[in-house]
Amino acid sequence: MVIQESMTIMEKLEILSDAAKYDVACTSSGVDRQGDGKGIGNSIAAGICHSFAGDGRCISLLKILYTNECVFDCKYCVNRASNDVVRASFTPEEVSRLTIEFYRRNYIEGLFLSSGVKGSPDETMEELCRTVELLRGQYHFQGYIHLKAIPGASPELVERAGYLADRMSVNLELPTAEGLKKLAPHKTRKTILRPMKQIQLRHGENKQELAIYRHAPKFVPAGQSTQMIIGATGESDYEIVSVAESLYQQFSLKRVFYSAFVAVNEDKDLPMLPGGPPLLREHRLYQADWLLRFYGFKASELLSEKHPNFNLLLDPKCDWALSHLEYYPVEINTADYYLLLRVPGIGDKSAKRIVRARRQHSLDFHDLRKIGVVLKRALYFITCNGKMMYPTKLDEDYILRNMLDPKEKQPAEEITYRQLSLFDDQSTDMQPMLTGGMAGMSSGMPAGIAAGMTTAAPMRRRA
Amino acid sequence: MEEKLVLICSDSMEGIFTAVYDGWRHGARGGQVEIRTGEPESLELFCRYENIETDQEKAVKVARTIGSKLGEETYEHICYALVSTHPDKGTAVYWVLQKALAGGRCNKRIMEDLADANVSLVFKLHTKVWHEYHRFFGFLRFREIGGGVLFAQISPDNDILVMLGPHFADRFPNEQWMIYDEKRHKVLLHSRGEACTLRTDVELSKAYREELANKEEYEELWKAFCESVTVQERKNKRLQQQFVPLKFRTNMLEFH
Repeated sequence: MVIQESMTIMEKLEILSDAAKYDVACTSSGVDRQGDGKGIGNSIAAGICHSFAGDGRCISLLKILYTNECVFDCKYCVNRASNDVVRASFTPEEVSRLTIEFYRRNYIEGLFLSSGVKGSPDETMEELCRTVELLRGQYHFQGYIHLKAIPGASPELVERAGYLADRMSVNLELPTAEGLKKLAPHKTRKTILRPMKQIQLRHGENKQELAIYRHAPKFVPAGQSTQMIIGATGESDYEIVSVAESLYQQFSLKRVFYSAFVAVNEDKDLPMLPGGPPLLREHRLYQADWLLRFYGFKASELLSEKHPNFNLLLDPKCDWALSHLEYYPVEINTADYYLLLRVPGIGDKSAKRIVRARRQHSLDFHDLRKIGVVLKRALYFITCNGKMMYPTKLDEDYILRNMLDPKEKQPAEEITYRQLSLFDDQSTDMQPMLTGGMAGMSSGMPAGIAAGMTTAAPMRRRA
Repeated sequence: MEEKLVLICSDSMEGIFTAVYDGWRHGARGGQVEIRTGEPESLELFCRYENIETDQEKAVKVARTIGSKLGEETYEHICYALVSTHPDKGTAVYWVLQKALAGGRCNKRIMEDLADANVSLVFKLHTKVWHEYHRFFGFLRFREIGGGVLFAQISPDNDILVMLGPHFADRFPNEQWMIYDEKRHKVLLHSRGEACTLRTDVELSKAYREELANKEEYEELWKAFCESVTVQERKNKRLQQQFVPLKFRTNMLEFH
């Protein structure tokens, strides 16, 4: 056994940021705060991304664990008590220095502090509070702070933390209570939902206080978020989306994050994922999440008991549109905002722009392109002044065939050109490539039409 | 028909606003007007060229008119469009203003008329500049040089250096910092508790450049952090490049 006397900051940072990387909530959004001119830092509601990691995820906050020592034994977690990994802990002073020095150099937007459970939940939460108090008090740090509430910590500590942090989060971890019991034996639904409810209620009261006393201390001004692990247990997309919906409605969460399960431990209760983490599924869930929050969809509209999972080939909005063709075509110049939002290819921004621009004069397809509508997808579902862009059929199979993006079906297989040869020594199975290429013609013309125009000409083979 | 008028002015907000002022009559009478910010490569026939001398007073008049008649938001759109590098920015702004104001009109909602080609161009330029501007909020990297002074180097496509001032002054009110635009050889200076100042025609001295070649302790820590926070199982370089295009990376230490 090697007993280490002391670790350098570099070693600690490597261990404790590596341990924190599976937490996905790394946004710095939700609060506008100007600097007071004395300390350091401010905050912008839109959030700022300072860099992007090699996995394409935003680095906005210094995302670290306070310690990776943990008494809990959650099976999916790399820091579970029974794992033999190097353990390290920061001190409040070290975290504060690191945050301030990184912040000064404009590397980060603030601090994301989570922790393993060292000793007891209360002891850990106490340490987190002390760290943030040091940062806010002594260093006059006015940047963004995201703090994790440790499940099982006492309400007093959660309250104390809430006045220091901009955002707090309690991880739901798994969408169902059974899953949680199976994989995280030390956590229960109760210990997770209780602080969540507490933060929600206190946040609501605080809003009232702020309405009366403008300078009252703010409690979690950027609201709270949570995250769920996707694909570790067997629940369906329908269950996940329903849970997310109820979290938004009943706990007024700002965000629910989805984290595709990455197999870091081997355990009989964990799934084997030979194809890597279920990233496409995670992507579809995020798309659905946006539909819930900004597009006025309900979970029960997107999925049902009979149809419990998302179509991996089509995004949830297209999928919904194809099974509800009775709403289409939508007339751009008269349809109301919420109906426009339901058209694939029209997002909330372009819907707003359409509503404003059509006050000036009526719009046609050319104008829609300038506004930013993705006509490639929208053209099947809309009319401008009663006309469609091309003579297309309002038929599920027809639209589906044309809409399936050839790029998604055939990932990055590049055509290699070679000299013509008399000998057929290489099979030239380029046929699907050719039709695929045509379907993706950038003019936005449906492949059916494009194909219809060219069928008379003999098909040329590229090889 | 009136002949076409081409106004040639300096590539600055003041210059273009002066040109708008001087060319207003011609456009209002139904003539064609273009505003160019550099010498034309070839001259057109049936076209009158005029060089515009930047006049602070005229520029302020135009700016004030836009602000008061069309509102702050429109003014912001126009300012952003004018710091871009698009050759037609002046002309587009001119016609947007004509459409909104000519004949005693006062269309505060001019920027909503996205079906108009000029409005749409100004709108697009605004978005483009805003994106770059906002990206530098995050992608700008300071490093500490002697005496606790923070130094950052950028090479933006659009002339956004001055716009960065308020954000960083609010963020680091008690720091001494400077941001150097290596493309335009300008530097924005800030010292404790004071407003930002701009210096033009600045060259970095050799001592500075040598200083910049050294690695700081916190730079090593930051690089290590960026490395260890990446989830290897999710590696996706294409997505990363989509968010941080290569042109931004020259001055971002974690990519070197």
